[in-house]
Parts: sequence; C-alpha cells; structure tokens
Amino acid sequence: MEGLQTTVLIVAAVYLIGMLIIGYVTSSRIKTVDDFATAGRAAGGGLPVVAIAASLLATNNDTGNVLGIPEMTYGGGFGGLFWIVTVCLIVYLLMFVLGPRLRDSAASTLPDYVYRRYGNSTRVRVSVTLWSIVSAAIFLGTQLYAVAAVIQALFGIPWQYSLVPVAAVVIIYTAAGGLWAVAMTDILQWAVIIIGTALVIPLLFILKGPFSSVVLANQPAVGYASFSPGMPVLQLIGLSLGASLWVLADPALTQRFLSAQSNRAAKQGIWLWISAIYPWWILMAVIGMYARVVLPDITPAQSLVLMAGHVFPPVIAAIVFVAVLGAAQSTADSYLNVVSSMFVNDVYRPLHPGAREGHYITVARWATVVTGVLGVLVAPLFSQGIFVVALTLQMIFISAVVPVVVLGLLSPKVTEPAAFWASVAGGVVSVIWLSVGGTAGIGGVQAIYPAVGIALLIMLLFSWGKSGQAQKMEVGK
Amino acid sequence: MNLIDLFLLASSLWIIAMGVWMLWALTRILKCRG
Repeated sequence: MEGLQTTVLIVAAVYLIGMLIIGYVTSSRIKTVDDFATAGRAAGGGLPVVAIAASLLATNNDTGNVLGIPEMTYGGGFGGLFWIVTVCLIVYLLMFVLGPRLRDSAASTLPDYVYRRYGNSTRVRVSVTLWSIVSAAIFLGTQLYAVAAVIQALFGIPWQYSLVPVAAVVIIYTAAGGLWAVAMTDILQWAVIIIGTALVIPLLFILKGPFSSVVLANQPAVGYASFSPGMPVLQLIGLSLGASLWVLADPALTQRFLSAQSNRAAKQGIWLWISAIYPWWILMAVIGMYARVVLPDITPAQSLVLMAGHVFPPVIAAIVFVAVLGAAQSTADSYLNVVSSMFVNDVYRPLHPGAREGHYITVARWATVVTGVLGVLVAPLFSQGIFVVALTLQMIFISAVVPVVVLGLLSPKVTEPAAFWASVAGGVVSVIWLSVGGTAGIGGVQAIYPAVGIALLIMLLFSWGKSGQAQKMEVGK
Repeated sequence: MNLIDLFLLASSLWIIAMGVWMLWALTRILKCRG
C-alpha cells in the first residue's frame, strides 16, 4: 500500500484540479437562482437523462456504501445483502410514480413542493425546510469527515490534513457552478467508479479463474454463497426500510426529479439508475467474496481496495481508489447544493422578495460557502462513529418528512393540517425515541416504527372525511 | 464457466458500457453548453 501512496497523491491532485475546472466551466451557466438550484429547468434547461442517472448513483452511494458492500459479503456472504436490496427495490419502484409527479409540480425545491401542494402553506414549508436543512447539513459533515477518515485508514494520512483541501474543492465548485457543477462532477466520478470496479471481475476471471471454480467451489463457510438471509426477518425488513425509505423524500435526491429536463427524462433517469445500480451492487458483492477466498486474512473493509490493487497496474489502481474516495465528495456536494438552494429559495427569498436575480445568486453562493465551512467545523464531531449519526438522521428525516411528501404526492386527499401536524409529531416522536433508546430502539423497536406510525395516524385522522375540500395541487404557480 | 459466470461477465460488460456512455455524454454536454 505504501508504494502506491505517491501515485495516489498525484492522481488525487489531478482529479481535484479537474473538479475545479468543471466548476469554472459550469459557472458561466449560472444566470438565475433557477440555474443554480434546478439547472435552469424553468427556462427550458434542466438535467438530461445521463445526469439524472449519474447523480442518483452519486447521491445514493457514498464511500461507506462503496466499501461497505464488499466488506459485508467478505464476512457474511451473499444472502443478507440479497434480501436487503430486494426489499429496497420494492421501495425504489415507487419512484417511478413519485419522480414524474415531482417534476410536474414545477417546484424549485422540496420545501417549495410541499408549500404548493398544501395550498401555499407557510408552516408546512417552514417545518419541512427546517428538518431538511438540519439533516442535510449534518449529513454533509458526516460525508466530509468520511472522505478524510477513509484516506487515513487506507494511506495513513491523518484526517486533519485531508479534510480541508477536499472540502475546499467541493465548496468552490459547488458555489461556482451550482447544480450543473454537482451533476457534471457526478457523471465524471461515477463513470470512473463503475468502469474501474466492473473491470475487476473480468480481470479476476483471467488471473484467478471464474467465480464458480474460485469462490463457489471453495466456500469459506457453510452457506456462504446461499440465499439464506442469516438474520431474523423483522430485523431484515427494518434494515431495508431504514436504508431505502429516506430515498423517496430526500431533499438532494428529489432535487434531481425537480430539475429533470422533462417528465420523461425523470422516468428514464430512474430506469437507468436502477439498471446500473443492481448489476453493479452484485459485482461489488462478488468482489468481496473473491477477496475472502483469495486474501483470507485482510480487514474486510479493505476488500475492494486490495482487490483493485491486486488486478490493476499502480496508476489504474490509483485512479480507482481516488474515484472511490470521490464517492463521498459526490454525495457531499449534492447536500451542499441543496442546503444553499433551500436557504435562498425557501428562507431568504420569501423574507426579501423583489431583489435582482444576481443578488439571490450571490446569496446562494455565500450560503454554499458558509454551509461548507460549518460542515468542516462539525466534521470532527463525527469521528465517534459516523454510521450511528447517519442512521439517526435518516430515522428523524424518514419520520418528519417522508410521510408528508410521499402521501402528498400519492393522494390528493391529504390536507394541510394533516401534513403539518404529521411532520411535527413524526419529528418529535422520533427524536424522543432515539434519545431514549438510540438507533437500536426501545425493546428492539426502532424509532421509525412509532414515529412513522403516529405521522400516518395523524394524517389519516386529519384528512378523514375531508375529501370534499381536498386541496388541488397548484401546478405551475 | 457456468451460467453464473456468464451472468457476471455480462453484468461487467453492461456496467462498463454504461460508464463509457456516461463519459461520452459528459463531453457532449460540456462541449455544446459550456
């Protein structure tokens, strides 16, 4: 690993400069806040299919995820992962309904969507803005820390040294080019990640032999390659829902649908994303299983990196490493962009209406810088177990925002008071439940169950029998 | 080589093709609207 360090540092420097160039090139496209937040969708622009697919990949997969799949299969084989991703797929399929509906709402941000959906309701907008900004800002901090922590784990460079340069590059290109810069860097990063990791399998076939004769014929444990989940069904469903439900109303992911060139582009983007992510997850799982047989005594989290180092010449391996490290960057930039977009659209503009577009763009850019610096300042707090922080946030967010957004998109019968009180109650109950029982829950019951349950119950009670006065969505206003 | 090996090779090819297409699309987007 040490011999590779210099090569990796050089590749990383070239890579960071490339990101800055993309920021510079895309900054010329930012003339309005709409360009900044939705890639100019209202003015006939918007994200093309490739950018939607790539930025769904980028936002949904961080470095922890990329390294985590081979880590999981290295230890436990294929079964658990198979069932988790199968349950996730059922949730993801809902996006084919939600994505195009979001696009048709003509809203600029997720809080703007709920504002329009619930009859120009300021209190629902404020509630969703608060939960979204807090969770996205903290998530940003976890991602920035994650890049630095992985660099430390793999190459021994203390995280304090890499945090600031990595974050500075993300902040500069995101402030300069807004969603355009975020989407373009997502395409570049994810093209490199998927090409690099997908090349590992055919190379392993050539160097070590096919999967069936290397792994299936030499299974390190009984049932290693079986479809047995290896955990109780309830735990499996809880894990899967925790991993997938937030995706439906995540502010950064929904921003892709709001910014799609067209309703059709949104649908095609989801198709491409699913048709890429499932085969790719399988390949990543298989890399972990090869690693277990070929390198039986390594730290499981290093499976991908060591297998890439095993099959590639140093320069190519370095490019794959750097791209994998960039996975966290490509998640961080999405949250950075969406926090500043929500701030200017849903906080600053309603309070200071009527200013010139140039003024709002300046505010959006400064909001990006301030949010990014705050992210860097809070990042060290996550050195105590980043996974727990991310999981806690996801649970609060799922409880406070997901029911309001998803049911609002699915049914015209949900009323404004239902949405507001469900959002408040879901958020409060999840925070209380988490502060008493942590992410493991109280008596094994995780926070999302009571919190989402109460949110759904409130929505049902408040909307019951009010279908006559259901608020129609105000499209295009 | 059995069915699962072929499936894995086909998946790799599909993903590589998709990655190459993404790079090609990126150059087109940056060229015509940069």
